[in-house]
Amino acid sequence: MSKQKFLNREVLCLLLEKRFTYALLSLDLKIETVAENFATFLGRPFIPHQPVTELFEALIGAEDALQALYDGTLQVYRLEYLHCPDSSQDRYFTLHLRPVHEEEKGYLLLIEDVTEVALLEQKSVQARNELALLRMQLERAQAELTRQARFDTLTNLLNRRAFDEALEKGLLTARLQSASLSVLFLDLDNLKEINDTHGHPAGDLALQRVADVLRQSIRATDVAARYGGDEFVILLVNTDEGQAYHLARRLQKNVRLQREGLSAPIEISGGIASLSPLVRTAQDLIQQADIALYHAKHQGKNQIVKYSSLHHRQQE
Amino acid sequence: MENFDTADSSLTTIQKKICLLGEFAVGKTSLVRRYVEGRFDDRYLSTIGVKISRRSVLLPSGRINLLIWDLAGSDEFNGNIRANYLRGAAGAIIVCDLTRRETLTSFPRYVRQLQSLGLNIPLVFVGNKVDLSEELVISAQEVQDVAEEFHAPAYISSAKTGENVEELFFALAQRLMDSQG
Repeated sequence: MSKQKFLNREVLCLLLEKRFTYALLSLDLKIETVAENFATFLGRPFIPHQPVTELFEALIGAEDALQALYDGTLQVYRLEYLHCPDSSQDRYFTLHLRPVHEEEKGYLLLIEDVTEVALLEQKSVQARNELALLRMQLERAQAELTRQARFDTLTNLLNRRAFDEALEKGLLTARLQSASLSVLFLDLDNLKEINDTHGHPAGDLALQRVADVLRQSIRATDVAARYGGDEFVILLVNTDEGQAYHLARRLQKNVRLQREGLSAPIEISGGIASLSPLVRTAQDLIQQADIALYHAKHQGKNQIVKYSSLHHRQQE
Repeated sequence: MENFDTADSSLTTIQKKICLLGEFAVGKTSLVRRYVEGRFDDRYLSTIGVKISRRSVLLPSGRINLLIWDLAGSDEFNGNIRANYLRGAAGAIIVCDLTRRETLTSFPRYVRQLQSLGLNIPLVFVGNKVDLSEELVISAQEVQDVAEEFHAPAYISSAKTGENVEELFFALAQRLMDSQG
């Protein structure tokens, strides 16, 4: 029992408070001596010279740490909040191991019952983590709401409001950089007939196919949107009227190639307006492209019309 | 489910400590519960400190008794406390939640922590909660890419359905047995 001198007064006081117990271990981690309250404290019996790893599996594989402890490279080896449930309740212990360099060499194992603190800590951590998870869910919901406010749910293209914002910015940038800019208004021909003949799902599919073609055909810097029922619009940066016309023809061709799952072939008409001295506001561009589109539809659909050609015609 | 009492004494048997690492609420405890007890509980209960479970795995080359250390998520403890938990680990399973991107980006931090303790041990990377198909933000390929950086296998799992849970623990057990020589 001489090794008990290693237990200082503070530890003895804690023992009296029943928060601690201890055992003295041999170098091969067998239980040599224990405090009087050891078995009752743990709530289970033990056998003298029993390997301590049979009571605390947490010490299995701790050989390196214990060697470091004995060599002095590690001051104390402590395992905090070790979950040690017994038959009736959750219990948490903190194990403190220190080397003993007396004539009988070994380790002093102090076992501290930290159940109360651990359960409080658990509640605190639980609350903090749940709050963090709720915050993440809230941020995700806000992001989704923002997305829904900017995107068309059927085609997953931007909606009219988001396009108008992009057009304002694009126009400002084009003016600052003296760059070209065009707006291409497109309309799915005969959507009403498709809906009436084949039903609204067929019409929805046709709109989705047009949206797919637009997405696949534009550059990352361009902006495509669903502007209304059967209308689509594309903002083409650094693009003059001629380039916009070529893109429009390509889109027409690619839309015509869409066949799979569609009840009937689909076609589009388009109107193009480009930045010119006649354009003062973003709405001017939209309006000009819309007028050009109207003429395209009026000319028998499946047409592309440039607003400038109408303007020149009026001047003539 | 096998337990220690049914071990075939003619086989070579080794015992290894493995740790589960990952951010809070990625499903570490649920994976262990599914693997050891064969059940799942939908309630989230934060782990404090460490809970140790065990299960025996029968491999063609012998039997391995896994001591499974389920550690609290990364924010709960400082480095020294965690270091003491990790000492003696022979392998680790690093888990992320496929519905939370930040839980994947922390993978390298756990590997560095193990390496800083001299633990160049077999690893298995896991993307958990694949059952939440509507909420997934991390792809299987992304988990695979991170795992490949560290020459480790990757699994996409669900503690809820049990998908790949046996497989991921088995993979680590096999790697531990192989590293035994």
